[in-house]
Amino acid sequence: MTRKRRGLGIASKLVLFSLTLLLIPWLGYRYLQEMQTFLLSGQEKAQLLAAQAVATALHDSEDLLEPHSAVPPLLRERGTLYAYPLPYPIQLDGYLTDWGNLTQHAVRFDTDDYVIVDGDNWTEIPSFELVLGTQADQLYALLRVHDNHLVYRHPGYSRLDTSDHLRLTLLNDDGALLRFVLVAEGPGSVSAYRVDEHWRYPLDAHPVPEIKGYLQENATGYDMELRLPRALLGPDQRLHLAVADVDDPHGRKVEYVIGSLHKQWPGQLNPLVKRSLELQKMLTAFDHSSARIWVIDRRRNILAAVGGAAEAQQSPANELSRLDGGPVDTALGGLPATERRHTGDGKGETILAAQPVFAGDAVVGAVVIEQGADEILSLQRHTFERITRTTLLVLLLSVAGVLLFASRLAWRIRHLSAETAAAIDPGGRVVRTMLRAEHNANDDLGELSRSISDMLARLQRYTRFLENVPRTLRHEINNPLNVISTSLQNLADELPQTSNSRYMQSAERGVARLGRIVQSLTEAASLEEALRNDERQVFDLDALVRDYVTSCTHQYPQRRFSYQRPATDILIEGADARIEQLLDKLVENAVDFTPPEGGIQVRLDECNGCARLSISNDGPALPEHIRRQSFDSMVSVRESGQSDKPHLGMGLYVARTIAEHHGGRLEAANREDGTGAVFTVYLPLAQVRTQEESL
Amino acid sequence: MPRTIFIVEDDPDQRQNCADALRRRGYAVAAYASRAEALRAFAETKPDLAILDIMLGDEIDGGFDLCRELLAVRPDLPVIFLTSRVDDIDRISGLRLGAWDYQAKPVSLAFLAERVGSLFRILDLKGAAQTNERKCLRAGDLEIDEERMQVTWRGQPIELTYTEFNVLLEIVRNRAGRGASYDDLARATRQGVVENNTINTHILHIRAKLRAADPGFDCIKSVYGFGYRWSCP
Repeated sequence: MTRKRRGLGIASKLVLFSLTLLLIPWLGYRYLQEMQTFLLSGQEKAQLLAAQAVATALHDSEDLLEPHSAVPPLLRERGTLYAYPLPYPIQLDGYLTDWGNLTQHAVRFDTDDYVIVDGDNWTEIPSFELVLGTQADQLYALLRVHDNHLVYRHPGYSRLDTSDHLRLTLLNDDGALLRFVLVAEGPGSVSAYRVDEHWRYPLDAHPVPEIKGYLQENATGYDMELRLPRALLGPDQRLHLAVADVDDPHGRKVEYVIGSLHKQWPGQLNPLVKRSLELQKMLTAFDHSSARIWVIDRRRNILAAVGGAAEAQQSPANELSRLDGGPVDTALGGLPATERRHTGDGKGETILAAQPVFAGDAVVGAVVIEQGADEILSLQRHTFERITRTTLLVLLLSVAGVLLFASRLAWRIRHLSAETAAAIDPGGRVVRTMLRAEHNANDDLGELSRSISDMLARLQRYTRFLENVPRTLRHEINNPLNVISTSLQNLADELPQTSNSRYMQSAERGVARLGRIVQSLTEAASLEEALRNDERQVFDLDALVRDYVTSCTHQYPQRRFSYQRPATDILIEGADARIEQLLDKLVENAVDFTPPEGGIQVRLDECNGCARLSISNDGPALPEHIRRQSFDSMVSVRESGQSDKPHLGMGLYVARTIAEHHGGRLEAANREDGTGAVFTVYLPLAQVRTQEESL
Repeated sequence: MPRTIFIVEDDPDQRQNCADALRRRGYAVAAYASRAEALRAFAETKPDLAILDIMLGDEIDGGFDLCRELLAVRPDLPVIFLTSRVDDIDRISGLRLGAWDYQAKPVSLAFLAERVGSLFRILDLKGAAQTNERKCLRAGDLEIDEERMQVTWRGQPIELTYTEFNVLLEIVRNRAGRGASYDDLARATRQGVVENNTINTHILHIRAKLRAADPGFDCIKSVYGFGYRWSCP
């Protein structure tokens, strides 16, 4: 007897449950995230501290950070020119490629910066852009001048202001002004002449050899590259550049001069700021290969930078852009700040920490430290990979373990279950009281197995007791019954006048009825044993039923019997007397429920290897709850007092037992229209028949 | 001189009733409650018939043991078991011990008396000379001597119990018509309450005994739902 399992098995449940182990990698990931945050903030703090150390070292070193303290602050603020450190010398060839993207950082000078203007009917807005750079002890300048009428120097003129030219002013060692005019006789080399204060005549016949230049025309004007030794600038490190424009090749008159300083400071020079060697030297003490340290002044000009081996290759302009924004602004505002940034390629992350440098109470610059967080991130990645591998392995092992354990458990339970089911035969008899499965196991299942064995033993004792009840009952009742019966007979013999008494007759009927009850009890109880002793033979069920129904029409004239024969003979193997007994019970039952003149239809046919015999009667339908039980003994739907016969529900029990003994079954149903009940017996056909067919 | 009947029955009421009924019909009855008592009395008297219960007090098979002991002394003593044990196994054990009949309680005293009467009559006939013309009922190869309660099949004697004899006789008597109905047969067993199933059991035994003499025997046919019919000429 096998039952369908309703839900998930133990194994599936355990495996599902073990999936919660998947939480472990997730938790590990969360932990790593927090760890990363912690480490990064630690690094931020470390960088801030380092920046603070540098800033403290620079404290009150105003002269390093602000070398032009003698210059009025506003001029310093607005007129300072910055010379970018160049990684290699510039080729003076008019091509701008060696300036890289520094050209984007060119400073533009236009009408606000004029020095001299002759006439005001400008046909164009005069302007030029300037980039300065230093490399070794040279200063380089690139000027991009807007000029749509280029006029070159004519060698016939001794005056130098008769063509487009450049005016350069420097302060020499003694604090005296040096004026130079740079002119070209065509595209190509530019000559520099020292000139008088009117910018007209050269003081020497020959150009100054230290200052070199090159001019190249372009679509909107010309580009000029210059080189001069830094030594020329003197200790004050100041210079001024101006572009003089001549548009009329005949008049050769200077139309305007645009300088590199706002017009409010005529005759002044721009302070020049560049990398400070002293600062650079100081910073080397803090040099750390993985971190880049900058010292910048208030105008974000980089005064010194060390470290960051990889970054050293980058162009100065790139470096500048990295100093834009948040923390640097905050630091220049006087407060330390940090920021995390993704690097340009998006793979890594860097931390930027900035500390202000004070001179007295004033902020004169800032120290910025940038360090990659790659070390931390790669540590995290490696840890994550390791954790993932470990947990996956552990997970796999535990799932396999759980699976193994669960399968074993499920197998043991199934085994026990199968043996338990087999311990009771389909007839409900206990065939074995000692389960072998798990009997010696020491765990809960062993306990269960032993409990079941125990239970089966008790069940068997109980079943035996129940089986013996009718026998005992019969014996115990028959004796007193015999006493009553024989006493009544003796009474009737002794006192003949009592033999016809109503009471005597009632007493005799009662005794007879008691006798029947006991007999039917016995019959049901000993039926299975009796069935086993029956002689079996092959016979034609159709002939039997035909005879039987014919007998019924005589025996119950008040009911209308009908029989629907099968198309062929139906041979079954069994005891004909038992099949007759089965019919007795079903017909008795049907007759009891059929009203007088009601019909009882018997029908026999073949159904796919079995014989189907149904007995359908007019009458009340079976209540649903009775339908399933009515074949168990002692269940009867008959109202008491309806009939003389004892009704203990033994009839249908006997019928079922006989059907099952013949390898068949009995089913009860109601007619579809509810006009009566149908009892159907299914019996297997005799094997002989199929053998004949196969021949 | 009246016939003497031994009754061994542990229940005093039943013993008394049975004894009274038999005495009323003119038999001398000696009733005992236990095996020991009966054995002692048996040594002194010579009963013509013994009616034994199987369960005697604490002795579950006391009646069987007693029967064996009595027959050991007097093999020709007719014994009838009168008991509430109706299982086939008990019935067969009883008859194998050599009992004439096996009656299940509750019993009709009238039937019991009649049975005792016919038993004595048969004993008388057996004892008498063979001069009397036999009153025989013939049905094909079957011959039934009603007086002597003897049955032969093709000349072979068939040993039937009293009840089986009556059942067979009833079937043969009704061979002309539809057959003997269950009700007829129930009456013929001369017992109180008889279910169809009990009749079927008797028929099985009768068939088995006849088949033991002739394996081809197949003259008792079932008329399903009605009873049995003698199908041979």
